[in-house]
Amino acid sequence: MAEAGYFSLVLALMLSLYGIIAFIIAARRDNPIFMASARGATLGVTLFSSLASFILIYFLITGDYSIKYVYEYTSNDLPLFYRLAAWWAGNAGSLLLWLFLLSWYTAMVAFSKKARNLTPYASAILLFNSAFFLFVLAFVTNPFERVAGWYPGAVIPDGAGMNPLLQNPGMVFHPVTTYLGYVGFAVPFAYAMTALLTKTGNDQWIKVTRHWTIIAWLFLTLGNLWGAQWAYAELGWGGYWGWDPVENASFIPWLTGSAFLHSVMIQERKNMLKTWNVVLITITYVLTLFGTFLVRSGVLTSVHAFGDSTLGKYFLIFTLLMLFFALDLIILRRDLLVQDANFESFLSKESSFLINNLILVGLAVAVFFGTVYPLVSEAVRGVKVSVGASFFNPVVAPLGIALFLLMGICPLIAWRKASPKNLIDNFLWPLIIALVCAGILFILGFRKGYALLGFATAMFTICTIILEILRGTKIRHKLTGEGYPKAFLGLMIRNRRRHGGYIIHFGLVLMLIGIVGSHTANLDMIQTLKPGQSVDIGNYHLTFNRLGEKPIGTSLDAVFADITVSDRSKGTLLGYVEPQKVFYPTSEQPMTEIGLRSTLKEDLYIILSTWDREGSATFKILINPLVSWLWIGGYIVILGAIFALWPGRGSQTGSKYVNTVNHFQPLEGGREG
Amino acid sequence: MRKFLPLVLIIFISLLAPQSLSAEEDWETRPIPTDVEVGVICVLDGCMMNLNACETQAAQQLRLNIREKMYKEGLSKEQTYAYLVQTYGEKVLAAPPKRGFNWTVWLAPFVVTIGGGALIYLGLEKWVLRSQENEEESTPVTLNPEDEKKLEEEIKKYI
Repeated sequence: MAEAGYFSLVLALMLSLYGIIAFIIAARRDNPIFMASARGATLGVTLFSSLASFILIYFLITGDYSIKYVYEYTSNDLPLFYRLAAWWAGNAGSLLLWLFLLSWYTAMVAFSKKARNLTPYASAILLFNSAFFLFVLAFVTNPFERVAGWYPGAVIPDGAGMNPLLQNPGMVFHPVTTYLGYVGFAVPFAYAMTALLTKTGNDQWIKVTRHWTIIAWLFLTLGNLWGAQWAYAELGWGGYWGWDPVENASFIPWLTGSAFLHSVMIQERKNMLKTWNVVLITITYVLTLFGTFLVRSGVLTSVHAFGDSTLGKYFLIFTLLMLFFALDLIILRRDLLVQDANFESFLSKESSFLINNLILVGLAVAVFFGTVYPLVSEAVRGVKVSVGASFFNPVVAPLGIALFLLMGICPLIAWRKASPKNLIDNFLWPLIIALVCAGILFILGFRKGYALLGFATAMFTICTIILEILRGTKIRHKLTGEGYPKAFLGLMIRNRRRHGGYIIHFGLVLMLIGIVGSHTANLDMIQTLKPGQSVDIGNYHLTFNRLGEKPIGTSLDAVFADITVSDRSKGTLLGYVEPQKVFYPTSEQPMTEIGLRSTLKEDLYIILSTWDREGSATFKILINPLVSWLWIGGYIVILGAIFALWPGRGSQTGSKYVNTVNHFQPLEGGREG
Repeated sequence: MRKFLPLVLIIFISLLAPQSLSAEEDWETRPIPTDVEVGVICVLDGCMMNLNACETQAAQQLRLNIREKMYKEGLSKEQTYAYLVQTYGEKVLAAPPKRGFNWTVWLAPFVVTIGGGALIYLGLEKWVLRSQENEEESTPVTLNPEDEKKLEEEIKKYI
């Protein structure tokens, strides 16, 4: 059966190569027979990739440890849930997952009824991506390889087991969503390249790929969010974002993808920034590959890198190949990308979008350069350096604050030309409220400049969003005579793209509150306690009752501390927490399971560090303010993206604004931000 | 008085002894300020996590090292960092020191952003100027009442 899995990969590789050629012939000769054949080949790639995936899943579930991958990442005591997750626990399996997702995306594009003129080349480019992954899986890291020394009939009783850090629900979903995001950005890239190849100079490719882009962005957002939640709960250091190279690898394309989502609006509305949009989607796509190179190559040390220099080499070659292909095409077709509209004013939504793009790209540069700087320093100076939070926090914070400020300003500035009155109407009250908020915080004792600026910015942006929605509701109520609740719902639903964007911004601002809060009034202490002793931190009175030991399942043991949490001032019981150290048979060091008491105000986060025979234990205790808002905001962002994506009337783009009112085009389906 | 001097000295030393012993014990267990730990990378076992985030044996060893320098030898934060760099190399710091070639990584994001801002300004200036010229050439459109009514109906649909 392992051979069947391997042959599925080889067959899929052959079919993908055939499909690429068939699609190119179909496009060049406009030949429907070749087109049908190429589509059949695409379907074949999808089916064989799926078959290979299912065979690997079968081996993982049944525990056939003669398969090297199954042996390395599972064991008899691993629950079924994590056996399934072992699919992406290692190099070969995760690349197979990538291929599985990519092949289905490719099939959807190949059989899409939209933009048939672009389908053949777009499908060929996506199949080329699949062919690369199939090549790697077939010839570099075969997921169906047998363990060394295995012979037919030999039974291997147990596997080495999964890395304990990966045995967390967050780590089960985080890679899948991240990959869905990574793979998703290949689709708009393929269409952008196709538009250049076919000399289609209009914004058709942008319209066709709008949903794909938002879906990719949504999944990448979710991937980053779940990654942060996993880090917070599982790594046990009290934080959620450590600026690890692998975290950065998924954050950088998220930044450029966000810039792309905004800049395409200018092309849709004004036929401008054509080159910039193609460059942005190219960068985003290439960064997804580069991120994978970082994860796979082991060139940078990371808490969750796979580290295989051979594989990294292939990814680097493929990344450079795709980058040069795209750049070459952009230069060759530069005449197609000439823009035909102008900016009427310095002060307009268009120009604010340019600043938004500038800051997002500036942030991407900061994170990218910081991530690769250890390599640059070693190459140039021969000196190894580390780049962590001490670099990223001070560099990213000012740009981030500027971005959130723009988030409040951009949506409310008029297209084409904003007047001073427009600015005063939209921003006076939010500005006053933000300043009052900063003043109150200052009086309450907040003295950190960034925190005050962060909270004031958050308040400003929230106010502009609320004010805009209230204003829209009022106008709708006046025009239609609907009651305010109905007018509000109607307003939101009739233009889901615009208001979905507002919901996303609102969620992001809540995330900002969580981030600033957790870096502002946080407390931490390390305390050794004997059973029965207490300690006070923040508004909590903690009593260490006892140290105990208990089995978890059949093969794990945990040492836990039983701690009572009371209100420090009132003395009332708030609950119990139980930080643990879990001993896995597959790991020399015990894994930390934190004790967490989470409220909207703050998280009480306790780590059991060490203990002695007398039952004394040392704890690291942290108070992380407002962290819950980070997660709440994150899920609101996801809801906003789904709201904007929801099909039907209200989800389309708005009218085009070109040059002067003479060229005002009829509304196509809805007004858009 | 002289014959009591050794006794006085013994009593004095014996009074001091527990204190110096407790000071000796103290430096080994005194917590390291978070802002010091945040700036250090756990390099001893290659885990490369921030020291404040790391609980491995190697991290404990590094912490002991830092405590010895800060509390036993009385070095400042900067002096302790200098000692760590001398012992383990620059990679022990969580950010490249702001000197020499390292300035490139500190300044690149701001140079790119400010440079990009300047390019946008120049581009906008050109586009706005071109647009104003076009506007002068074009004739404004006035809507007849029928078109105005149609426009109003359209707006109602989309608000």
